[in-house]
Amino acid sequence: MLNYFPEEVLEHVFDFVTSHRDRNAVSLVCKSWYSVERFSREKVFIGNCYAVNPERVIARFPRVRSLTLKGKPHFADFNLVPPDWGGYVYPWIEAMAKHGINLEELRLKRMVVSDESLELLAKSFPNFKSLVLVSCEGFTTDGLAAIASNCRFLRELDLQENEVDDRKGQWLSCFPDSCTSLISLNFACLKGEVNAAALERLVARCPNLRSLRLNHAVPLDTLQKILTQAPQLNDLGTGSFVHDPDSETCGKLKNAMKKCKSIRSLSGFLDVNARCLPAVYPICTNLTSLNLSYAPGIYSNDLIKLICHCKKLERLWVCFFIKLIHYTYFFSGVPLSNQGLNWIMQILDTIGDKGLGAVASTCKELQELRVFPSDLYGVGNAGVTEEGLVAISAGCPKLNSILYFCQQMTNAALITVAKNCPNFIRFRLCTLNPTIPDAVTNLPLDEGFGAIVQSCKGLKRLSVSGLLTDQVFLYIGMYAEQLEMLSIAFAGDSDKGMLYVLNGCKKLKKLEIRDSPFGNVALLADVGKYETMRSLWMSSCEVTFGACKTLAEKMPRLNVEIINEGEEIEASPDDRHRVEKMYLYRTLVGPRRDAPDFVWTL
Amino acid sequence: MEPSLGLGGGGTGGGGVGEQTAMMEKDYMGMSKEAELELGLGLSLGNSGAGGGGGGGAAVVKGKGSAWGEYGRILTAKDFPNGFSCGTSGAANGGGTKRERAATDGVDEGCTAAAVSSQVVGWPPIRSYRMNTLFSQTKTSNVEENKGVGGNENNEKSNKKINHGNDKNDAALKERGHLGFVKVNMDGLPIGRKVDLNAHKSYETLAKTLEEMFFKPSLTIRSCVTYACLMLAAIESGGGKEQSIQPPKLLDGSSEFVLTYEDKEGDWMLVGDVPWGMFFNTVKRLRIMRTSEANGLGLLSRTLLPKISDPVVQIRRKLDFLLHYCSYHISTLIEQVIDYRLKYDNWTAISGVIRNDVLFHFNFSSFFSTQVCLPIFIATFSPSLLSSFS
Repeated sequence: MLNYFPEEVLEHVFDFVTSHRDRNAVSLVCKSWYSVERFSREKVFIGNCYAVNPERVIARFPRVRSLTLKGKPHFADFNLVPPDWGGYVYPWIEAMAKHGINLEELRLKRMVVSDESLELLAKSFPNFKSLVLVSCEGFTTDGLAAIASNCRFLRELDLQENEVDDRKGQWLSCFPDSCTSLISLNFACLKGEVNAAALERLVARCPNLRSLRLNHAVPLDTLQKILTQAPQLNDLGTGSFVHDPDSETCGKLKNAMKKCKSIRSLSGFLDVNARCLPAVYPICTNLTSLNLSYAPGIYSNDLIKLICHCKKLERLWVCFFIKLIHYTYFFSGVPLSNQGLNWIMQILDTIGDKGLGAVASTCKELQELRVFPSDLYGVGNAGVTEEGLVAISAGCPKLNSILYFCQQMTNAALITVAKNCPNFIRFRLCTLNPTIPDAVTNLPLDEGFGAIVQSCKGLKRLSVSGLLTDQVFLYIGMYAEQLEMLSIAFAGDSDKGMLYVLNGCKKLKKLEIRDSPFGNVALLADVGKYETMRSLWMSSCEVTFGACKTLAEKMPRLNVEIINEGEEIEASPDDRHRVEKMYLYRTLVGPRRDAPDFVWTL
Repeated sequence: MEPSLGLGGGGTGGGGVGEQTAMMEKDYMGMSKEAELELGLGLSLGNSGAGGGGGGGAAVVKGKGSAWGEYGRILTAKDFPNGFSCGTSGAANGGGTKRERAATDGVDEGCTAAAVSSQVVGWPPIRSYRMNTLFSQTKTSNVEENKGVGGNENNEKSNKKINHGNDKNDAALKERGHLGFVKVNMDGLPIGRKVDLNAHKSYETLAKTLEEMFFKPSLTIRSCVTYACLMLAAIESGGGKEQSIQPPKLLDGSSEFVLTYEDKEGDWMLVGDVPWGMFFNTVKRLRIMRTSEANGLGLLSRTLLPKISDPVVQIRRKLDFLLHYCSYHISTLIEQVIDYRLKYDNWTAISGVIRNDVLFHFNFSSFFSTQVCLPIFIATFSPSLLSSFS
């Protein structure tokens, strides 16, 4: 019956299918659907840039307009992957330019982007509209200048947490006067100055500007002028927020902010004086997203005052930290007795957890919360404990995504959280001490995480920490049916742990393990599993060369990469030798040709 | 259960050590990670694994490449090139896999996250961009915040400037090409040094440089044992939760010295209060001052803190004297302790003679009578014995 559908109709129907997963599913139905789908797909998502090559992508999707690429493994964020590992975007841009692809959007994560790539990008695609770079590196402001100068219809330039070399050029001034199409501009991660006047003019001539995130170097009076020019903003990153609360500029800023009735998302505060915060209170009532995680200058009490205004908040990123104990100890000049330390700790713990308590009682719409530590090296690092988490779970029933760094945790707390919030999709808990047991019972945290996976049936992403045995993996394998990404560190007792996960989690896509005693038995038990997954990372585990070689032989459509740093670059390492870092991923195109010396593909 | 100095536990084999050393990163204060004494983490990180039971015993102690790995070693003089190299090992990590924990692992709680996390590459898992941005910022203390802590209205606010007020300064700073060398003097040393402030962007790197310049090995050994005694003091006078204390650092005040600076107006100020830029702009010269003299600069009055028990302070003062007197023999002392321990497997007491005229008596029984096993080496001096030196 379906054969009688003209293709145009199918195409029209497929237009409504936007998620790449759904499109992938559609393309598997039959050959004609595959064919129609591939010609109509405009947005292509590639979760691992080495799983496929540019030519194949272009061949299959000749009408691609938007490309999303991810490069390095996730643990590269934490310095576990040496530089020059790979993830270069240049070949992709080059190939698309060569084949005349009408590229409009490029979204990259954890990739190496050179200035040459940016220049080629800017010059090759006349309709280019949107560039989003997250956690990328390798480029300088010269590359940004190329984008600004050449992309006549640029709508979005979004730089998130990239390492950018600031060349002190005037990249922002390179936006021509004819550029009026900007909708989103985020340069918060840049370290250098931009020409304030050029920025003000740019904002003034882009009436559709909705999202603007400034960097640290933009002075406050520029912010004030910008806000006056662009009261239509939805998303504001303030840059630094340092000023004398009594100054005239501050007064003007307050007035400008009052007029910005559309701001729903606020971030920045890269440098802030707490006394200046009241200027933003007028915006807080309508805020749905607040990111204060780069604002170590806001101490808990001021934070609490701010949050009390934010009743509609859905997303909150904060850091709780107390450096005070540091200074307490410092000023006293003598060592604090234990009692003294305990006393201070209790107060500070309270402030950290109290802050979360304030969030819990105010932000009833909260869906996503991230709590970062912001001083790791203080004495008696207080911050937040399990109490804060429990308070949040009790007060915010819509919570579905959490990243929580904490000093300590208990099973009881996790069980309570699981009961209060069964809707978690992402649950990432990080105890600052990676193998800390339950703070009250001294037992492993197996039961706590077990409760989470049992209760949260929709859980897709999980990171565990604290003292954990194989038992927690038994629970994960049994209950976490929707789990797609699992991060494990310093956990487990034996291969059984990993086996529980591999056998149980049917939808697992990414598994990353570090410093855990999983070895060859676990690795080789079900080699076919890895073709159903995007990637597996194992570092500082018990896996040996021999096992990796065996795996690579058995599974030709996997790239099994060994990362060898430093000392032993032996020609032929002993099979029994443990592998320090292994990264394997499924691929259609065999071993990559741009691997550096220290990466061996077996 | 053998009381843990972790001598029994620790690394599996030599291979483990090398990798572990490679893995350790310098803590951002500049001291190598291994240098941090810490309480209680029953953690034997990385490859060297906790396993390896008691077999390591004899081989363990002397020299660096011990089977034990960096995390379980007793201090020896050989470990003190720059900082001190000591670590914890698993509390009662005897035998079993690296994940085995004894019930006595309560000390885990006591360990600061700081001490632990600083020893492990990539932990806690915070994106390096965020780490670089947040943790290279200066430590800023603020009068308001101290108020928040103790609620004590009597805090001395007068000396403190509000931190972030002056953005003009920052702007000016960016424009100036400041010739960065400033003099640094340390109490007790007649000859000063000069340090280039331009080479630093944060207090941490500056402190590290100054520590390298001024803290010579003998002082560090001394600091190490002082540190050990401080911990003892903390434990003895308290009960309950152990807290670990960072090894001496110029910025956090656990050392005997404090870093101060003279600003443009001629006032001596504590380093670390204002943003780096502001500091950079106003500093004329630096001074490493004895903590005791710097107390006047403190914000929190002592009345805010619980009364420090006298014996602790006494011990510390006496220890200072002793250490001054015979610092370069501490290593010998420590080796003797270790020998004794190995020989007798008995931690009750040990006596040692140093320099023929100073007698130390180590009394460990007060520690190990509690159920908490301290995986680090702590020396204490019996008060009665100390009195003979006063």
